[in-house]
Amino acid sequence: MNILILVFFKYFNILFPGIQFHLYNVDLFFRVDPINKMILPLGLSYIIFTVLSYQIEIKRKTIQPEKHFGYFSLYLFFFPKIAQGPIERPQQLIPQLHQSHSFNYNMVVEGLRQMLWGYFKKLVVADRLAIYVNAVYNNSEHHNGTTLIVATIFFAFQIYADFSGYTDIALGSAKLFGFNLTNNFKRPYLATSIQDFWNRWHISFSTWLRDYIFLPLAYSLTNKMKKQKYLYVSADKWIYLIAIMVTFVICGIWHGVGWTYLLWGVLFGVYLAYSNWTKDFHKKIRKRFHIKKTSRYYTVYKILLTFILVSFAWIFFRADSITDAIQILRKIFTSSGPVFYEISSNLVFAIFGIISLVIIDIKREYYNARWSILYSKYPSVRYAGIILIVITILLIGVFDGGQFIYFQF
Amino acid sequence: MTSSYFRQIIRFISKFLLIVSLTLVCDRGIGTILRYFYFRQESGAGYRTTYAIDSTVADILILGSSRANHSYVPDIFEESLHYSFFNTGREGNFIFYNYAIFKSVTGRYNPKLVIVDISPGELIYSVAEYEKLSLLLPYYKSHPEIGHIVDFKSPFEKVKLISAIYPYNSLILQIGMGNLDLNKKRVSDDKGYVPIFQVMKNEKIDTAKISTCTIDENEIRALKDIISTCQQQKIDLIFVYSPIWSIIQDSFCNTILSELCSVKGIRYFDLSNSPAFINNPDYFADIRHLNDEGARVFSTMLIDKILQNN
Repeated sequence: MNILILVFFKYFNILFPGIQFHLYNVDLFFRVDPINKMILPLGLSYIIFTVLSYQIEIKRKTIQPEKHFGYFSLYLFFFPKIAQGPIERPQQLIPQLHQSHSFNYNMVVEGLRQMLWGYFKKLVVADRLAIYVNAVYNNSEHHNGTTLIVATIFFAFQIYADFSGYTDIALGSAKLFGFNLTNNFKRPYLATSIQDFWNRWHISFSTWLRDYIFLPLAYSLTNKMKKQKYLYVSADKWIYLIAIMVTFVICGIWHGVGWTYLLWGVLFGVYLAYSNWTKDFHKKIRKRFHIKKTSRYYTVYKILLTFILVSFAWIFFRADSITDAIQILRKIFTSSGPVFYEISSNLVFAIFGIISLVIIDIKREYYNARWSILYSKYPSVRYAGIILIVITILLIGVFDGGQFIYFQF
Repeated sequence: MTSSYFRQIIRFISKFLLIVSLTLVCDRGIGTILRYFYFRQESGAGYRTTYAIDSTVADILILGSSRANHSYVPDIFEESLHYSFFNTGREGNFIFYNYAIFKSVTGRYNPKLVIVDISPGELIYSVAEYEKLSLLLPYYKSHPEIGHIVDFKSPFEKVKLISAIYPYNSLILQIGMGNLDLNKKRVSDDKGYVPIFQVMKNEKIDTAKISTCTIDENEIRALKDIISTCQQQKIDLIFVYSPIWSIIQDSFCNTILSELCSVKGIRYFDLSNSPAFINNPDYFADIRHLNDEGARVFSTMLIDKILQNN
C-alpha cells in the first residue's frame, strides 16, 4: 500500500501518460490541473521508506509496535528530517521520543555549530556551484568537453555540499531539541572504492537498501541456489550480481522517474558487481607489483579512481535525458577547448568553495585531532571561526533562488 | 528545574549574545570598507552603474542590457546629433535595472534623448529578473527611488540589509578589480560603450518561437512609468530592438510592446532582423551581440532612422 502511494504520486503520469487525473481540479483548497502538475507531498519518498522500515522491523520482531499515535506521528514527521531525511530507523528515534528532553548546553552549541557549517555548504558551496553547473548542463550542446568535465566535477561537489549541507542543518536543528539523528554523510569523496563510497554517501538510505533489499534477497537466493559454478563462475558471485543489480535499480528508481536515474543506478550496480567479481584478480595484481594495500600512493590512486567513477555516474543523474547524457559523454571524449566562464568571480568563488570543502574533509578524515578551529580549546579561536564562517556566507554566499536538490525526491 | 539548568541557559545566552555582537561589529567594519571601495571604483560594470546613477549629465542616454552596451557607439551619436552621450547598458540586466537608472537620472536632470534597447522577450515574467536586482543593493539606502525598485525582489530585503556586508554580497572580487588600474586597461569603455572585436564563428541562424507566455505586470508598469515620465519632462524616448543573430517569431511580446508604444505615441524601431545584419554574420561577436564593426553600422543606421522620423 505504501509503495502504491509512492508510485501513484511519483510515477503515475509517466506510467500512464494518456490519463488525465482531475482529483485536484476543484476549488476546495487549491486548483492544480492534471496530475503532472499535482503537488507532491513534501518528503514523500522519505516518509514511505520510514514507514516501510517500521513495518519490516515489527515483522522481524526487533521492535514493539508503537501504540501512542502522537509518538508514531512524530517518528514519521519529525520536522528536521521531514524534507530530506535521514531515513530514521524506529529503534533509533522512537526511544528518544519517549525520553524527556531539557535544555542541554553542549547539544545546543554542537547543533548550532553543525547548522552553521551546513549553511556554509549550502549557500557558499552548493548554490555557487549550481550557477555554473546549470549554465553548462542546461546548454550542453553549446559547450566543449573541457567545460563539461569541469561542470561534471562541480556537480559532484554541488550535490554533496547541497545534500550534506541540508543534513547538517537537519541534524543540528534536531540537536537543539536534544535529539540525535543518523549521520548521512562521512566524507564520501575520500572513499577508496565504490563500496566504501556507499558506506559514506546517504548512509541512512544505503543501509536501508542493504538491510531491507540486498541482504534479504541475497539470503533468499543463497537458500535457493546450489553451491556450484554457473558458467564457470561461483554461485556466490552470481547471487551478489543479482542482489546488487536489483538493489541499485530500486535505488535509481527511488531517485526519480526517467531512464537517466535508472541508468545511474544500474551503473553503480555494475561498478559494485565488477569490483566483486574481480576481487581476486586485483589481489593478484597487487601481489605481482608488490603494492601494499596501506600505501599512501595507492590510497590516493583509489580515491581518485573512485571519484572519477562516481562523477561519471553523476553525468546520468544530472543530464535531462539519456540523449543529453550521451551527447555530454561524446563531447567529453572528443572535443576540447577553453573552459567557459561567464563571470570570472563566480568561477573563483566556486573553486574556493570546493577547496574549503576538500580541506575540511581531509582534515576530519586524517587529522581530526589537530588544527580544530570550531572545536579549539581556546574560546577566542572558536569565536573567530564562527564569525569567519558567518562573514564568508554574507560575503560570497548565494542568497537567490537556491533550492535543495534532494527536495524533489 | 535546578539551578545548574538555569546556569546552562544563562551561560548559553551570554555566549550567544557575545558572538552575535562580535559578528555585528565585524559586519559593520567590513561592510564600511566594502562600501568605501565600491564607490571608489574607477573601472568595470559597478563603476559604470555608479557613474550613470550619480554623475552622468549626458544628453543622450542608452538604457539596456549587454546588447545595448556593445551596440551604441558614442562618437557616431555625438558627431551626428551634436549631443553628449552615455551608454548605461549592463550585462544580463534588463527592464528593472534600466528603470532604476532612469529614475535616478531623471531625478537629477532631464536628458534630451533616451534610447531604451529592449527585446520584447524581456517582458516575460522571470524570477531571475527579480534576483538580478541584488546588483542595485549598494544604492538601496542612499537612493530611495532605487530602494523602491529593489523592494520588488522580496519584502525581506529590508531585513537582510541589517547586514552591512549583504549589499556587497558576491561583489568582493569586482570591487577589488574596479580599484586596480590594471582593470582599466583590461576592459576599456568609451562613455559606457564596451566594444567587442571578435567575429562570430560558424553559428547557424536559428529560429526561436514565442507563441504565448506570462507577461510581467511589474515590468509593464515600469515601462509605462518611463514613458509617462519622459512625456511629462519632455524627454524624447525611443524603444529599439537591436539586431540579433536569430529569427525571433515573437508576435506575442512584440505586439504588446508595439501597442504600448503606439498608444503612448512613442517611436519603436524593430531592427532585430534587419537585412543589413541578418545577411552579415561578420557584424556579430556572437548570436546576441554585435561586434564593434556591426555596432558602428547599426549606430549609423539608427541615427538615420531617428533623423528621418523626427
